[in-house]
Amino acid sequence: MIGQRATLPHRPARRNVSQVMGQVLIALLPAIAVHAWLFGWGIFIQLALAIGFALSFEAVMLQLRQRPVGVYLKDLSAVVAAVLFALSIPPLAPWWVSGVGMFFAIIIAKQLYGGIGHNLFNPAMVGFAAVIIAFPLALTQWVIPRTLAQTVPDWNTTWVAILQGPQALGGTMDAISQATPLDQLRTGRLDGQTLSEIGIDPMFGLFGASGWEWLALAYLIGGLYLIGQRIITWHVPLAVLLGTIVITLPGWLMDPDLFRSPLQQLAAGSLVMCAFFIATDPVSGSSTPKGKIIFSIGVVVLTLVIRAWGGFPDGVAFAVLLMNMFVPLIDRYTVPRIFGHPKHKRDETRSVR
Amino acid sequence: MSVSVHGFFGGMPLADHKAMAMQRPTQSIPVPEALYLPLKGHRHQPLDLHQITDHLAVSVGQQLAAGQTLTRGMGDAHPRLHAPVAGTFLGIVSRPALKDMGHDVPCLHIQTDRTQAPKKLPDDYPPNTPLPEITPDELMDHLQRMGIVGLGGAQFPTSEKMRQASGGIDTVILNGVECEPYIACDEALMRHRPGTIVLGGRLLAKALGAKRLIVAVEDPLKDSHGSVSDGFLACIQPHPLDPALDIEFIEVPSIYPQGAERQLIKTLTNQEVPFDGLPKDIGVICLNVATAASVADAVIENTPLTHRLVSITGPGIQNPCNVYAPIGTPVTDLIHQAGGFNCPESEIDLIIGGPVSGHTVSDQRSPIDKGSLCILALTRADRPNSVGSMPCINCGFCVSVCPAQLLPQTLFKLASQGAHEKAHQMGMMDCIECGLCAEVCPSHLPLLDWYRHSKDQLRALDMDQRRQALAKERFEARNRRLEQRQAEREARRQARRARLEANSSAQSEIEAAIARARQKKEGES
Amino acid sequence: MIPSVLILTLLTVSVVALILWVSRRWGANDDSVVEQIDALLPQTQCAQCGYPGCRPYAEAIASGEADINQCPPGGQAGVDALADLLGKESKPLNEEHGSHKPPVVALIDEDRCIGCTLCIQACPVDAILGAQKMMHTVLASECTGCELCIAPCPVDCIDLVPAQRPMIHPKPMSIDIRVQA
Repeated sequence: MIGQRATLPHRPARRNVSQVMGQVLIALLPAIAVHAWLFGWGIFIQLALAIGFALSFEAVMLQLRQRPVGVYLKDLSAVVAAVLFALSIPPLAPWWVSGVGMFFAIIIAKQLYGGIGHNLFNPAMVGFAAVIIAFPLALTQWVIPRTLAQTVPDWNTTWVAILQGPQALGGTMDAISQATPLDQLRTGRLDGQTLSEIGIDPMFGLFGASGWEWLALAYLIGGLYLIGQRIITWHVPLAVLLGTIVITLPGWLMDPDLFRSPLQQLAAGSLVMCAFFIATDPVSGSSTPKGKIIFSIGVVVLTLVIRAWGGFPDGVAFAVLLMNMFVPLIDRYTVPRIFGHPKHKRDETRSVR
Repeated sequence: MSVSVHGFFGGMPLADHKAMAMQRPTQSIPVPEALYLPLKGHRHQPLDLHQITDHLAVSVGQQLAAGQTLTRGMGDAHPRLHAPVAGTFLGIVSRPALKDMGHDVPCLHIQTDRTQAPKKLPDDYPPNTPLPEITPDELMDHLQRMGIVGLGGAQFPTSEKMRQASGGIDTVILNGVECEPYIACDEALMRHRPGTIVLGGRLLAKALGAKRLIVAVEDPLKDSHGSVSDGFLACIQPHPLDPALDIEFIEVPSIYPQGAERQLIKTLTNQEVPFDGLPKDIGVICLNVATAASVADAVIENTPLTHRLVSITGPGIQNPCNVYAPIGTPVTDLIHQAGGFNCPESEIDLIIGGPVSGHTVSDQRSPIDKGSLCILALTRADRPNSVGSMPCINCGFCVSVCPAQLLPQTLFKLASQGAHEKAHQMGMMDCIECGLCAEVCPSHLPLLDWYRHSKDQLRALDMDQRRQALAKERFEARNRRLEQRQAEREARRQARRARLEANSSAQSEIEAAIARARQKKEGES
Repeated sequence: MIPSVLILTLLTVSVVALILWVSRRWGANDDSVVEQIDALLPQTQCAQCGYPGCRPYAEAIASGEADINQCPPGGQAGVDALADLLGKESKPLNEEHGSHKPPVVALIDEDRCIGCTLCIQACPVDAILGAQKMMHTVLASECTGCELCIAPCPVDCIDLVPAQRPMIHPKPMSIDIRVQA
């Protein structure tokens, strides 16, 4: 109607939030496929559980906060958090893991901070950190990947394990699951073994972890798709991947018995997933290009520190959450140079032209 | 010597939609019944009505000839206006402002003589048209008298721009980069009058002592009539005015906002204009091609600036075209000339300027001014869905397109919290209002509206602070003066008392002397 | 036991001394406090606060003699800013001193002015020009709208008109989906 303020721009938007989140989901499809091939049906049940919990929690919270439920559910941000969470937990983890994880992710980390756009911490990682502290045992029992076991748990086993808990399977659970390569490395190092002694186990595959390598590759492919679609910029992925290599390379070259190879660091854990899907979370990450790089390097350093000396086999979730705390500080000191301003000196008294 | 084309940070290519307005020949408009020449050249300086009446060069009821001067100089903000056509001056009236919704602007109301033929877009001058020898000062005075202002939208007086820049100008850039979608008035001008543009450029370059003249256009400006460069290339030949002048014709990539002055200069010279400076600080002056053409007209034909090309275009217009219209024509006449709307008016979004950075026109009675490039009618179907905006998800799309290298999402957060001064620290005033951030925002936030609001608040704040400083200074000066006067008064009183006291002691001495004398006398007697 | 009491006492005393020294050393001195308060006042010099001008009021606030909510032209925003500066709890504007009004400037009706110069003497910022038996006029750009010239005028020829304000682009009415639902 003429006479009413049309908000700029006067044109259809190129993308909306749902489409952005939808692209992220598309980029996660290869990883989901590889995950299913490696570990069986579990991932689909976990996805359904996590998405179901996420959307219900989100709907309840939106209702309580008197926000339009339909619009905010359709933005798909809860779904993205749920999918990332489901991909992070063991495929046979019991259902309450998803419930607790999504409770912390959606209710605590997201909605109580003000919903989409306002969360200080990455919801998926808050959820994961909560369950790894709450259920340390369930979170270390990973299915042996198809590359080692030549088979994956059948539908029935999966169903029973998830719905009734691993106890319901009795001895079968021990037969089909093992520690993750990272866990194995950690316990081996604690027992005083050298890396080459530990590395004899076939679970370490070609570059560092049989099966997991393929998963890392799938995340890489999905991540490159996101960069191609300009959903994320190159800063975070490049800084995480290069940072990992640069930091771990010297130690590995000096003493491969003491320090893991860069490729193993990347392929055996969730660093590649982190590089493209976790550390790139726009809301809880840094806003400035330089800040993104600093944030990523921080994530890498903390992850490696936790892997080497921490109490958990992998440290991505804690590293990301710790770095989330530093984001305001990082943003404060990495404001980019504005067009036409001198390179270094920041002028504090500016005139209004 | 050739110029290599550099880039600028950010920006993005946009579908240009220029063919829409270019599909019909440039038209002139039948003389409108009434013209309303807006008196506000600058929205940030409130206009004083006393000031206007003091500077009117005509009286109410006076018959006007076409081209007659209406206002004498009122300083930079209010350049001279001339009667576009013959008619009668009916006084100053308020009309709705084109850009500021809900605000009025004082206008000079002219009742036109409708028997006269409309003025057509003048023909091009041949490239070898002789140009008069004119000193820089004479040229600047002449341009001021002819009311020549920047026609790219800012409407800054060209004479003033030249005065600020005089000395130290190496390159004159004629900006033909009309980067915003739909707008095609400069393209029409460049196709019709390349010779005039180059002649205007020569005059400016000569007056400013520049050695180079660059004409910059977008690279895909080609249609069935060929590229605009053909017309320009034919004009690049030595001219007796300044045979040594190095004229270059450059096609720059069409990446919005390539036509913004500072971005264009960065592209052509790889230098950034300092944020607190002007292009002259790096030896460059940048003028719109239409400004250059009006300079040539003013010098060769002695024509004041009274008409301009306006694109009337958009999917909601029946016959989109470029119109050569008198300044002060109401928008409704222009739309009528273009065949009106092709859908119900309630479906139309009327915009002054382009779709990315334009302003909503709230009232079709608003008259156009010298900086009106385009009247754009978008239909409901083109409107962003009215879902409204989502919260900012900090996706950073705006950061990667912002040509001023700002952090638009941070500025938005500060501006919407009312923290305008903090936003100022983060470079709010460096925003060039290109609107790309809002264009790419997946949350559909009205970012540009927030920045415009915040910038205006900052300007108002600055004005208040200046007023406060002035009031404080005057208050203190007055107090000093009063104290000084008090002190002087006190000093005078002291002096008088001292004198009186001195007097009284003298008196007593006299009396004593008299007494002594009397005693003596008595003793003698 | 006694040594530990002594050590703790000594520690306490030295920490207190250190804190006091730091607050003295780095804290603002009185002069700069007056300056800072004065900078937050609107400089209308209208004396509605009960002090003859903004600077005297600033001095009175700094000395604790006056409260922070006595400046109507500064409005609630001004009170809040003062509270923020002085680290005090903000309070509502004291209406006894007048209410907050949009900025105005004085305008002399030139037909009625008799040229008495009383308003010129009242103006705190010398914004009125004129001479005995001659018409007076207000410099709109210097007038603070303090209203001090209104009362002395024997013929009531001074009016207050809204001050010319620069145009402000309206705040976007972002169609927030929260509202829409």
